[in-house]
Amino acid sequence: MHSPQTLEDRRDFLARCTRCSQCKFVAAPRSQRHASACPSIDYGQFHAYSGGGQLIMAYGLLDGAVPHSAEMAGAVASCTMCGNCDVSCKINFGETVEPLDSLYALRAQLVHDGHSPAPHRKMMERLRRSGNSCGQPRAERARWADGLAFDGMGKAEVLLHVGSGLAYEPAGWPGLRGVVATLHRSGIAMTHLGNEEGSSGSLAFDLGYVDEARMLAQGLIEQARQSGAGTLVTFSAAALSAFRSVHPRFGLSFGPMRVLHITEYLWELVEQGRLSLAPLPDLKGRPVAYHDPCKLGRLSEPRQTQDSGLDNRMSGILVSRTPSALRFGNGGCYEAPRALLRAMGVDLVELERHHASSYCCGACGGVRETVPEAAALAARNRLAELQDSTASILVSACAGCTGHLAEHAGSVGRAVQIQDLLGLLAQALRPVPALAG
Amino acid sequence: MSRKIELPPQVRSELERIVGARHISTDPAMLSAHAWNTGVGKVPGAEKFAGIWPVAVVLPESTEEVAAVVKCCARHKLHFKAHSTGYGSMSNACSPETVVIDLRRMNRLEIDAKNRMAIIGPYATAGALQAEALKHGLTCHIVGAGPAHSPLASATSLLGVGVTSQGTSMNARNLLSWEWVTPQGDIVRGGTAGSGCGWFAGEGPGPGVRGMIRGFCGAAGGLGVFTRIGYKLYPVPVTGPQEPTGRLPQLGMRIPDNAGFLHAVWPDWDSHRAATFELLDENLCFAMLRMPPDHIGWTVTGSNADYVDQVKRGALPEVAQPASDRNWTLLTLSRSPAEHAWRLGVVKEIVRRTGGRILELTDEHAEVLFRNLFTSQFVPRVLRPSGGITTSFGVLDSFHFLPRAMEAGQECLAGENLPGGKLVEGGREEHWSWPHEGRYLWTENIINFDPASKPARIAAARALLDHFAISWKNPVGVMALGLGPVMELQGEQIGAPQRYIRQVKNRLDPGNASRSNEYVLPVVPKPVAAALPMLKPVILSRPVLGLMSRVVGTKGM
Ligand code: SF4
Ligand code: SF4
Repeated sequence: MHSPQTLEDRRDFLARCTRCSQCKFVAAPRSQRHASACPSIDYGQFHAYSGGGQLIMAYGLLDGAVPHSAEMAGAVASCTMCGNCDVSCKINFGETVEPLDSLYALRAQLVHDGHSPAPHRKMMERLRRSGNSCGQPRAERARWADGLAFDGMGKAEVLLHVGSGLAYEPAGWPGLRGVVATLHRSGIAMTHLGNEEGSSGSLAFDLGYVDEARMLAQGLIEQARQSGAGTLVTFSAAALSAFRSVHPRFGLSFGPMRVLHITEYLWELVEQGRLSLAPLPDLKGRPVAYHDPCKLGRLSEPRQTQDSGLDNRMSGILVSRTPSALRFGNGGCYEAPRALLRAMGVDLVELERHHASSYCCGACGGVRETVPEAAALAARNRLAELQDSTASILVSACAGCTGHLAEHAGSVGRAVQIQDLLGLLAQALRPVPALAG
Repeated sequence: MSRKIELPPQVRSELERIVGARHISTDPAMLSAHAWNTGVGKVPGAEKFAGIWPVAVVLPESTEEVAAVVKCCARHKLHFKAHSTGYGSMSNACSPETVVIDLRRMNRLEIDAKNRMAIIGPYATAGALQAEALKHGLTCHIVGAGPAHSPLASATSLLGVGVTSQGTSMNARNLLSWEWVTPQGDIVRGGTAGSGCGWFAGEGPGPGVRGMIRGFCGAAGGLGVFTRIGYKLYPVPVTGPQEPTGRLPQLGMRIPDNAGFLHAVWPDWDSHRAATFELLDENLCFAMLRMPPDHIGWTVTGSNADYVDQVKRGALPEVAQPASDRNWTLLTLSRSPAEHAWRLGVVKEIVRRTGGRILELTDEHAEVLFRNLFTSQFVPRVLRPSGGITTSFGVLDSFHFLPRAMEAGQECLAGENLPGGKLVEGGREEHWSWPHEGRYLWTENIINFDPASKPARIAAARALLDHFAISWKNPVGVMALGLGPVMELQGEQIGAPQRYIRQVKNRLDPGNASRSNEYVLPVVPKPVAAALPMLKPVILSRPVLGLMSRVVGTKGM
C-alpha cells in the first residue's frame, strides 16, 4: 500500500532548507506590490508563516526543539496549501527541498499528535457526517440537478462529478445547469452520483487527515467504477487536483477511466466540433483577466506514484530517484480555460502572477474557515492585482475562488467584477447542430 | 538549545506597546527561523539548530519603532540583532538575551529615476527593486544571495558583491545616504539625508561617516540597525519587467535588442588574462563573469538528475565541459545598432587576437544563462547540487593575480573534488570571477560539499582553512569571509582595520548590545593580541589545520 511521506520521511528535505526566502516571492516579479508568492506570510509576517519557515518549524518538531503551540498551529492553519512556495523554491533547488510535500506532512503530523486546529477538526467532523465540510445535508447534494433529465447508471458515456463547493452553492447552479443542458442537447449521455456523490479527499488531505483522505478517495473511485462511464468530468478544481496529484500518493487511480476537468472536456468538444462558443456581447472589447485557481493550475499537475527519495551521486549531488516524476508547475490545467475564454471573443489579459506563479485567492487549505482574516487579505491582494491591470473583470474556473473573491470585491477601491467561467460558458456554449441530433 | 531566557512580562508589555501584540513572539515555533543553522557561506555543524536562540522576535513597522525597541533592549540589558530576508545564518542571534528585530514590515521602495537611485527599506528585495527599476530603464546590483536578498542589508552590513559588478559596482559603493538607529536607539541620518537634502549622497552635507560605520566588510549587525538608504541604480537599454522565456524551472530572458551575450574560452590563463585587460581597457562589457564549467552545467539543467544524467552521457554543452574552464561570459549592452556592432566587433576581435574562441550557445541556454546573470539567480542555484557551499578568497586586486588565484584554488581543493574525493565532483578549481567597475578582480573559490556528511564537512572546512593558510603565506587578495574573529588574524596583513573598527564599535556600542559574531570582536585581551602573530605559524601548521577542520566539521562555524 502506498502512503504519502511522513514528516520523518521528509527529515532530510527539511534539513536542506537554506532559509533563502525565495519561496516568499514569485520567481519573476513584475512589481514590488505583487511580488509575493505566499498569502500566509503576507498575513502572519513572521518567517515561520512562509513555506521555508514551516519547514524549519517542522524540523524543530521532529527534533524536539520546538513543541506544539497555538502559534505553530496558527501559522500552519494560515497556509492555504497553495503550493506557490514549491514552484519558487524549485527554481533554485530542484528536487532537493520540495516544500509542499513537507507542508502536507507537517499538517499530518499535527493531526497525528492531536494538535489539528479546532476549526479543522470541525470541518472533518462535518465531512464525516454529511460528506461535505460545511455540514450541508446529504439529501440536498444533488438539488442542483432537479428537473434535469439524466441517463440512468450503466449507460452513460460521461460521469459528472460536481464537488461539494458547487453542489451546495445555488448561485453557481444556473451556470452548472446551463452547461449540463447544452451537453445534453449535444447528445452526450451523462450521469452523476446524486446525493451519494463522495468527496475526492482533497480537503481531508489538505488538512492532514491522511487516512480519511485515502478512504474518501477509495470510496469515490469505487462509485465512479460502478457508474460504468468511460470518462469522469469534474466541475471541481479541488477534486481534479486530488485525482491528479493526491490519489497517486496512495497508489490510487480511476484506472482506464479518463479524468478531465469540465474546462478540458468542453474545450475538447469544441475542438472536435461538437460544441461551439458564441461571442459574449457583454464582454466584447473589455479586457478580462483570468485567475488561475491553485487547485486547477499548479496543484493539478499530474503526479506519479513514485519513489520520492534522492540518491547521492558524484560525492554529494542529490539526485531524484524518479526524475521523470519531477514537477515544476508546468503541467497544470492552464490552457483549457484560457482557450474557452478566447473562443468567446474575450480580450484576455494576464495578471502579473499567472500560470504556475498565480497568487492564491485565500479560499483553500481550510484558511477561509480557520483564519478568515488571512483569507480576506489574500483575496484583497489578488483583487489589487486586478486593479493594477487593464482589466476590471476577473474570471475564475473554480467556484471556491469565485465566491471568495466576489465576497471581498466590495472592499477594494475601483469597481471590479468577479465572474465564474461556468456562468459565461452556460451563456456561450452551443451544440453544433449537425451533431446535436 | 542554549540556556533559555524568559522574557520578563514587563518587557514583553513594553515591546507590545511599541510594535503591537500581534508583532512580537517568544514562542519557539516563531523563534526557530532565527536559530536555523544553515551555514550558507559557512560550514554548518551536525546540528540544524544553532546553540543560541533569541529570547523574542519583533516586527517593527517604522524607524521610530525600531529605535524604541533598541531603547527598550538597552533599558533591560537585552541585546538585539536586526534581520531582513535572512539568507543563511548570518543574522542569527548571538546571545540568548537577544531580541531579533525582523524588518519584514519595512519594505519601502521608491524609485528616483532622475537621480538614478532608489530609496529603500530593509525588506525591499533585489528582485522587486529590479522589477521596479526596469520600468525606468534602470537596474540594480544584485549580490550572490540572489533576487530574494535585501540590498539595504548587503549595502550596509556585508561586502555586497555580485556577478554584474562590472556594470553595477558593489554594494559597499552603491550605498548613498542612510538612516540608522544607533546601538543606543538614536535615529541618525547620514549623508545628504542628514541635512534634509534628499538621499543622493553618502558623504554629506549631513554626517559623512559612511565609511566608518560600514567599512569594507559591512556593519554585520554589530552596530545598530539600518532602516533606510539611498541606493544607486544603473541605466540599461531594457525597459519594463521582462516576461520570462522557457519553462519552469529553466526560466530565461530574451536577450535585449542591441545586446551581445557571448561565451568565450581561452587555451590558458595567461591568454585569458591578456584578453581581460584588453576587454577592460576598452570598457566594452556591462558584465563579465567567469564560472566554473560544472556550475554552468548546473544552470543549464533543470534538476540534479538532469545534470548527472547529462554528465554520464557526455551530453552537456561545450560551455559546461571541464575543458572550457578558462572562460568569460560577456554581456554587452548598447543603445544603438551601430554601438552594438562596434562593441561586439571589438569583443570578438580581442577574443580572436588573444587566442580565444567563442562557443556556440543554443537560444535556450543563452536565455537561461542571460537571465541568471542579469537577475543574479545563479548563486542560489549553486546550492542545488548538495545544499552545502562555503567560499574563500575575494580578491579585490589586480587581474595580475588571476592565474595565481586559480592555482591557489586548485591547491586548496587538493583533489577532494575529483572522483573519489570528499567534496562534490567538479573542476580543477571552482572560481567565480568578475571585474568591478573595470578595476578590480573579484574571485571566490566555491567549495561544494554534502552538509549531511561529516567527512565532507571536514574536507570543506579544511579546504576553507587552507585558503586562509595559503593566502597568509602568499597573499591572494582579501578574504571574503574575513569576518568576526577572523579579522584579528587577517587584519594585521592589510593595515589592521580591525583595531580601528574596534574603536568605533566600543565608542558607539560600549555595552555590546548590538551583538554580532560577524563584526569585530569588541575586546581582545592584550596578551592574546600580542600572542596572535606568534601563534600564526602554529595555526598554519598542518596538524593544527587538521584539528581545526575536524572541530569545524563537527561543531560548525
Ligand atoms: S523552502 Fe526553498 S525557497 Fe523557501 S527558504 Fe527553504 S530553500 Fe529557500
Ligand atoms: S503553500 Fe502557499 S500559503 Fe502555504 S507557505 Fe506555500 S506559498 Fe505560502
